[in-house]
Amino acid sequence: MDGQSRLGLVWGLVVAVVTLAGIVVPYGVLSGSGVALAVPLFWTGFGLVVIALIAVAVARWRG
Amino acid sequence: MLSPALVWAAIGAFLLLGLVLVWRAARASRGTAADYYLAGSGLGGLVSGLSYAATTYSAFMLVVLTGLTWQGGIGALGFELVYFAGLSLLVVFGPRFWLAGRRWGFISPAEMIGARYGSRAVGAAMAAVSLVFLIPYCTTQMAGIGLLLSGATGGGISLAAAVATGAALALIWTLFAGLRSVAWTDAGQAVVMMASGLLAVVLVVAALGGPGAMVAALGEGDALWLDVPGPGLWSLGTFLALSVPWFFFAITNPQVSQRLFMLRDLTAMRRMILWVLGFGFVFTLIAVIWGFAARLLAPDLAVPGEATPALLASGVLPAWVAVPLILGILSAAVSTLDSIALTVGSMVARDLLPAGMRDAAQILWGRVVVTLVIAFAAIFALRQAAIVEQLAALSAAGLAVTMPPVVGAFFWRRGTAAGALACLLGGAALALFLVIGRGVSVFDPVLAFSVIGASVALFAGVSLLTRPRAAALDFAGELRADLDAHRVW
Repeated sequence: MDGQSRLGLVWGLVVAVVTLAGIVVPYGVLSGSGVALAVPLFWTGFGLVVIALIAVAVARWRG
Repeated sequence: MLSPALVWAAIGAFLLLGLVLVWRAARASRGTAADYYLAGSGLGGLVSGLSYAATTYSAFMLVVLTGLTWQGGIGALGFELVYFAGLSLLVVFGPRFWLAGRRWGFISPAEMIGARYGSRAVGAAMAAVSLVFLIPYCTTQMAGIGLLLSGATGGGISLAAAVATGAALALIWTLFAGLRSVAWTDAGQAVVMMASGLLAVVLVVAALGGPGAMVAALGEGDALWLDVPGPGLWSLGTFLALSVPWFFFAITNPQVSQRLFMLRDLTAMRRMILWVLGFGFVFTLIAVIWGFAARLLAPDLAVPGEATPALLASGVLPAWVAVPLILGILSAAVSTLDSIALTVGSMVARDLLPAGMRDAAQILWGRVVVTLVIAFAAIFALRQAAIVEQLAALSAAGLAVTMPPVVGAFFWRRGTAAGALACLLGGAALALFLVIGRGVSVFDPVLAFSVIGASVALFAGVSLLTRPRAAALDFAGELRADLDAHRVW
């Protein structure tokens, strides 16, 4: 496996972990925590992280 | 209540502006099937991005998602954002679809999958599955238009008149110039959706005393709505039942995956994706905040789908804000509806009817199918408007059966035509059996996990028991050099 493929695999793993965190953290950690707005703020941050991950990946494309 | 005359006047102005775009698009048309269905594969990033966004973000957002927020709280945001995370699939599959389309001249995603496995029957099966599961989604758009216009005007605009209006707009946007007019009107409609949504949300939050006061009010009376599982709707099972199939939306829904064929180059695709991300994130927040506002201002509704019409009719927003928002939601519905109808039309013309038809015949058949799909959706919406949420979500679970053959097309050379056929037909049959035969709800994770699990198992199992056809294309091998040249993973 060359360096580019490895980089792609790492990116894919990060996306998978982030997506999983988008479910596990609100339901497993934040649910019923009593911290005001914990879940809305987490999911808003989650959306921003997703944007950043995708933007980084497409920025390397050559037209 | 909003005056029906005012709403009709706004729709009339909207129609006139749209007609100008359609006329210009028709003048640019070249009369070929590739031009009618893909706008000659020459679209840039901005128009493609707005068109993709308007197609993806439908009336579901400001009617159903808003209702789900009103009913169950913040889980609606998480559900929509897990779908949003699924846009990451475009990083992997977007360039592959585009390169395959360029090399072999594919017009529909089903055509591409059929060619990959060397079987026209696979393409036909994928087209048929798309047809079966996209019609409920079209119906949802129609039902959304009906609920919205009749609800906001207190019945001053009847359900039938509202649905007929949506059908007429979708037909006009589609029939004359195909994807070029659809993409241009989509782009204009996306601007209307975003501008009207932002304006409405800012004003409704201000009417509630500002963001701090709104959050405080929710915290006092509806604190559960800011947590999961919330007041009951968003159990983990329901969340997974809805989120998992929607995660694959970008590659399983042909009305959006077909848009990957219409781009000029990869620079345009990059811009398209960035536009979709920005639009999607903001529009999702708009829909959820709108739902929370409805929770505070209209807490006693009979059904969640009435949240938006009730808020519009409540008088909280002045007519000069409410009417543009109605146009925004109408835009969201029509832009999704016409895109689906055109994609289904292209799949019938390219994948279900005999191969080798002249371009003029393919366009004619596409137009006939577009008309039939829109008419069918309108009739079905008038009969079944009460099951909006169920119908919307069923399409995602049903179309998830196309995921294994699409993934396998690019990443698994051992995938065979028999495996793809077993997956598509077996998975679709199981989805229909569970919902229609056994009454399993789309909110039950059994549906999504059974359908996806069975589809993957059938694709992998039958593929391993059979051999790839001689006519099958090797996407992984043939596209590798181009992918490397474009620095695509």
